[in-house]
Amino acid sequence: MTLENVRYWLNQLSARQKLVLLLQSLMKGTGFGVLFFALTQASAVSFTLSLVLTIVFTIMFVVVSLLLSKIWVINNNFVSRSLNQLYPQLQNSTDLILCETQNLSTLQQIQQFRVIELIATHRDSLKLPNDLLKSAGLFFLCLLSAFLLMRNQNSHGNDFITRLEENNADQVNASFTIPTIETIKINITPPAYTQIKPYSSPLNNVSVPEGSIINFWLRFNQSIESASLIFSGKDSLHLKSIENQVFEISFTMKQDAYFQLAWKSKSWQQSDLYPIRVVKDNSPVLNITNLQQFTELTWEDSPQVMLRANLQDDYSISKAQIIATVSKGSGESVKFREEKINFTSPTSIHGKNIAAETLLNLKKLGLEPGDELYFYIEAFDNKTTPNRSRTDTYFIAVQDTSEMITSTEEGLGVDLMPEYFRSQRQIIIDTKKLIRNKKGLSVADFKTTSNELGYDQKVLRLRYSEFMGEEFVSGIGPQVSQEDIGAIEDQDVTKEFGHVHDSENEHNLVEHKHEEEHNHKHEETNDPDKKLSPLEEFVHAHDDAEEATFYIQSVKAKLRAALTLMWDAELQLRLFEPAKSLPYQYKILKLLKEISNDSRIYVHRTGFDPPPIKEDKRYIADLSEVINPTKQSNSLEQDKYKAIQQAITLLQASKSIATKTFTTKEIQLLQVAGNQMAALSKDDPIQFLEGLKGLSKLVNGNYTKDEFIAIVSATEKALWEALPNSIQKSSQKQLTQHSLDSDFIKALEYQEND
Amino acid sequence: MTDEFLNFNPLFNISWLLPILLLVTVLLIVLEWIKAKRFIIYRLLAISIAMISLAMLLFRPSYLTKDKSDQYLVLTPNYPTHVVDSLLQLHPELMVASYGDSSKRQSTPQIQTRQQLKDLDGKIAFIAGEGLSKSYFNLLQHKTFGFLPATKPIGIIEITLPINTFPGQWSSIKGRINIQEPTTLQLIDPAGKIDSINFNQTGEQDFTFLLLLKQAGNVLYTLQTITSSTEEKFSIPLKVSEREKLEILMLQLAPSFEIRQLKNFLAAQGHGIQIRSQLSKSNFSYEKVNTDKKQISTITNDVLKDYDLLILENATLEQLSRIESEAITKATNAGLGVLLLMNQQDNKNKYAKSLMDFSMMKDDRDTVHLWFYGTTKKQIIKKLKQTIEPKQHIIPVLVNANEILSAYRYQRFGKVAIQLLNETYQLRLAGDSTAYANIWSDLITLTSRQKINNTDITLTDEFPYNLKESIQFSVITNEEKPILYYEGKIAPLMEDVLIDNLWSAIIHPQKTGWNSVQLNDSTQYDFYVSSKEEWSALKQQQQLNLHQAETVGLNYSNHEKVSRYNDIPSYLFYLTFLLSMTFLWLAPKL
Repeated sequence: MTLENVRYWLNQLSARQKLVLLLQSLMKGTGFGVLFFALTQASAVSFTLSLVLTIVFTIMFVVVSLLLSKIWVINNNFVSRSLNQLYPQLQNSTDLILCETQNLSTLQQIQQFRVIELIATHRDSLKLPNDLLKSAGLFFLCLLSAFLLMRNQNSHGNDFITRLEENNADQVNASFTIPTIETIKINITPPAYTQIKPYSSPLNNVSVPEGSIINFWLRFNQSIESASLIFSGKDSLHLKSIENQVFEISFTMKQDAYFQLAWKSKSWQQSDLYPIRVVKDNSPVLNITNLQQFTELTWEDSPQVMLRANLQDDYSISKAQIIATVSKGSGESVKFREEKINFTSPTSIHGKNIAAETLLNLKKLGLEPGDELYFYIEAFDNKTTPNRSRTDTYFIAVQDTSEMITSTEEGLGVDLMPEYFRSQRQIIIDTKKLIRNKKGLSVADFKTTSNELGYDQKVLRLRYSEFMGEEFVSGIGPQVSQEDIGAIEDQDVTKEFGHVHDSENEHNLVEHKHEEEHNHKHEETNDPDKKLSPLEEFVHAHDDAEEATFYIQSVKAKLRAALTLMWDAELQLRLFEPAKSLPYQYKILKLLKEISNDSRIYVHRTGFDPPPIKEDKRYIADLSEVINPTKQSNSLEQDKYKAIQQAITLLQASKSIATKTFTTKEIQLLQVAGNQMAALSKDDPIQFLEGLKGLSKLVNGNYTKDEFIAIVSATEKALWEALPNSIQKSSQKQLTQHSLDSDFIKALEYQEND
Repeated sequence: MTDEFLNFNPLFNISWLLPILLLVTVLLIVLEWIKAKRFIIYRLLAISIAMISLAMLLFRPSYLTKDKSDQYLVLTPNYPTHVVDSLLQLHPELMVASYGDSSKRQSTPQIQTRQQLKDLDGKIAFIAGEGLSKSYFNLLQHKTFGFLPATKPIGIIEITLPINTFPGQWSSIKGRINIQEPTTLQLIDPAGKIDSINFNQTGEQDFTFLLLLKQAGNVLYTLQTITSSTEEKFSIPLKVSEREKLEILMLQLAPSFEIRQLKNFLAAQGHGIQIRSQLSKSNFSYEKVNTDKKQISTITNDVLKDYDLLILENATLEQLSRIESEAITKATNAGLGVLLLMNQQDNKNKYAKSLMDFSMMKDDRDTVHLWFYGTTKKQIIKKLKQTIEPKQHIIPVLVNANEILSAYRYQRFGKVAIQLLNETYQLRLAGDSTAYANIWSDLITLTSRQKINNTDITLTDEFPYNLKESIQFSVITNEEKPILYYEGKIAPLMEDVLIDNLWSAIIHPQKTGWNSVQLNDSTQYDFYVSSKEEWSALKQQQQLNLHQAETVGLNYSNHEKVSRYNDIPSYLFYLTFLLSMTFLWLAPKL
């Protein structure tokens, strides 16, 4: 190995040493830099910042490391000195290599030569010390640590980050101070009469008896400015602050509603919607269990009737009694007497469910045959202002079998008194008809028909006599007793009511009186206008002059006169002289007309008074000024469901988009739909509560991705239920028409015409 | 193809492959010869076999057979195995191919691509099973094959959904279900169950659900089948259009309750109504509701153009002048609807008679007992002592036990309808709005002038529609160059060769749920794409129906057997090569 070679080797060693030092610095710098990066990432520093800091740190570390290692001093001299120190076998002569041989002394030359040989021999073992391995090991250790750090951070689901985030969030929250409710207590104090003890209610199911006092007690996690309870989106109650962070309110509810809590610190916060259901105190339910609504008893039946009833109330019945009305008599002389009867069992009415009974003693109540008892049960509950209810009215009638069935004329075989009576005009018509048909009828038929007409006249007379206050059937005139009727039956009817031509005046040439073989005591004349004695004129009026009647005096007289004439007409008809009865009948008709006219009430006409018609305009057929009347109106109902319908369409379309975000316009639509729905639920605010809750969540964005479909479906369902059941409607249908369609129809038309 | 027994299909050109192989063989033989002499013969043999196997792998030989015809039996899922076995026994020359998941038969070539199916076009003798999917089926030009259907699927196999509906219209969902056990079928709207049917007998059963549509828009109903073990839900998409307002003109000689109540009924729905009542020969009284149209003194064609429906009693019609009657006839021909309330039996006026043109039959009864859907009791309603004779051109609207009470007929572009029921206003006065609406709503809707659209988009394929399966649209438009958009992209339109303004397009839906296509003139058409799991039975049945419609029966005559080359499986050669090389490797070690 020559001197040059050794020098070359020395140079190489020097360069290598510099490289090693550089490498050491780089490895350490990089290792620590990576670790630094991992630490900054674990500290939630942004990636860019982290990277920049790492690069800076790494560069600085490398530079400092290089400075500390004094890389610039490493040259051949340094290397030779280091070799002299490290390897004694070089006899401290390595630096001789760097000198020129000609400048050395002989001894130095010899030593130089010796060093060259030594170096050549031990070249492979001559190395400068370095920490390369340590640096490499440090580098890998730092890498491993960084790796573990990064991995640990991800695998725990951001525990560290989460904690940090929560911490941050807390700090942020603390800085923004969003208050929340720590505790809510809802205490219900029902009214005392319900005998329900006060209790606590859960927030989402507040159900209270009517009239209860509801107490809300809230504690917030921090101080707030104010808190309110908002009912059904409209009314609100301010909560009173009783302590720092504690608010309270007591109130009563009359009907169902939904409520929402709202509180304000820097801004308003609102809770979800919750229902309050008010359980109404219903009226007692009464039920008579053993009697029909109409009961008819005969006199032989027991006069005692057991009355059993079930009385029920949701809380308690405080009082129950039977209100009985006894009705005695009939017609205008009927008398009513009311009595209140208590139940005999139980003696005191108290409780939720009572089986009460009592024995109605009809005799004690004074009922006689023909009388009726009307009764109902009335009950009150124990509410402060009691609820009252009553049953239907029940009837117990005691039959009066001794009473005659009216209007039975057995001897004449006439039907029961008809519901209506034939008017005088009808009797006149029939009488004229009878006279006309006389020739065609047999004598018996003629007489029968005449008699029937007489009977009709009697019925008419009796009816009119009622207006005169005469109640009894036979009314005016002597009565036909049962015995007489019996006697009449045995006799020949015609003889009974006929007349005997036993006088020289059998052809009726002069007026004559009929023999009194019938019950009428008045004298018959052919001219009813002929005045009889004043007394006789009114002989059929048996009642007091001050009898009750509906009419004024003149009308009364006319009516009386009419009744008298009716007697006469009837007489003639009974005597089979219809022609003679006709004049009476006409007079009766005239009087009845006058009576009806007299009894009319005339009132002054109000309203439009048309102007008098101009004579020159009448009947000239000039329609030029006649305007066609036109009436214009709009009857289209405002569509109060439009927003709800549009919201349903929107929600249906949204269901298929899991990540749907509503636009501002869509949110406005949902808000309007919510308002419409709230307006519909006026009578029952809880009816659409789920829908309102859902809309509130969708509008405010208070939902997660997983909840979205469920909320949309629930809201859609509520909106759909809010739509009314429609009836069938009409619409214009649409038709797509291709030009060929119209050409085809036109071609058919041409074909038809051809 | 030649008639040689063996045929080769080499991977590379045989002219240089063969020499290379020979050269390599020689080289290997020489190398082996140089080595130890133990098992030399066997080693040389092994080399030869290995090289021959390698050659065969590269040459891909096939051998000639003549036991099959060129006709195919295509097996699709759920094919009737015993029928297919019998068929193959009868016709063993048939080639067999598989489509879909019909994996019962092993070693049958699978038709996986459209090209493969196209290659078989004209050679398919039979298809067995559920059949090909529609898009594949339509690829075939020659559809003269026999079809051996699979058994009917279990579930809803037919469904007809209402179209052209609007709120307040009774619509029906009809269908057919095939069941194996007692099943309950429920119709559910967004609020919950609205109707259900219990099927106790097995087999195919028809069903119909009637529903009164509540609101316009795209609405999803649900059909649910419930058995003892399963529950399935199916989405029923309904497109409900907005109600369109009508312009109605009513003519009457004197005010009547019937016209008044009809006016109130229609006005409450928003229709524009004008009533003209005659006061004297030339004086009329007018009442206008929800409209601001001018008063009409004389009925002319121009006046009637603005109206959709003319309502009048036939007695009123009698009193109109000749000019007015002709105007009504002309307007009806142009599209106007005329509704005649029959309040008298005979019409003397010849124009009235010509407009009537309904054959009437005498009827002694002057009342009819009717029960209306949605009501609980029968109503007794007065009617004219006549009935309408059923004829082909008469379309009945209200029928009671084969007795037509109201009907309409076409007159050119318009319609003329008659109503035999009288004094129906009493129903309204009694508070039975449902019955009243049932009598009049359909009649008014069907009789009135239809709104003519020149642009329309319809689906030619039947429901249901599935993801990524083609759907064909038909478009009628007067646009010179219409553009159809789907999901923001243009769907190509093809005009019909013979008919102007008629276009068709095919799209492949990209998402489930409601989709829409639009034309460049803003006409939009919505359609619903069902999820894959829904309507499987219906889709299978539609496939079966499609094939059965095209089948020509099982008249297959024996086809000539054709020569064909069957590939020798290459794994045989590979195994041989492997074994040979193994021996060569093992030999020195033995």
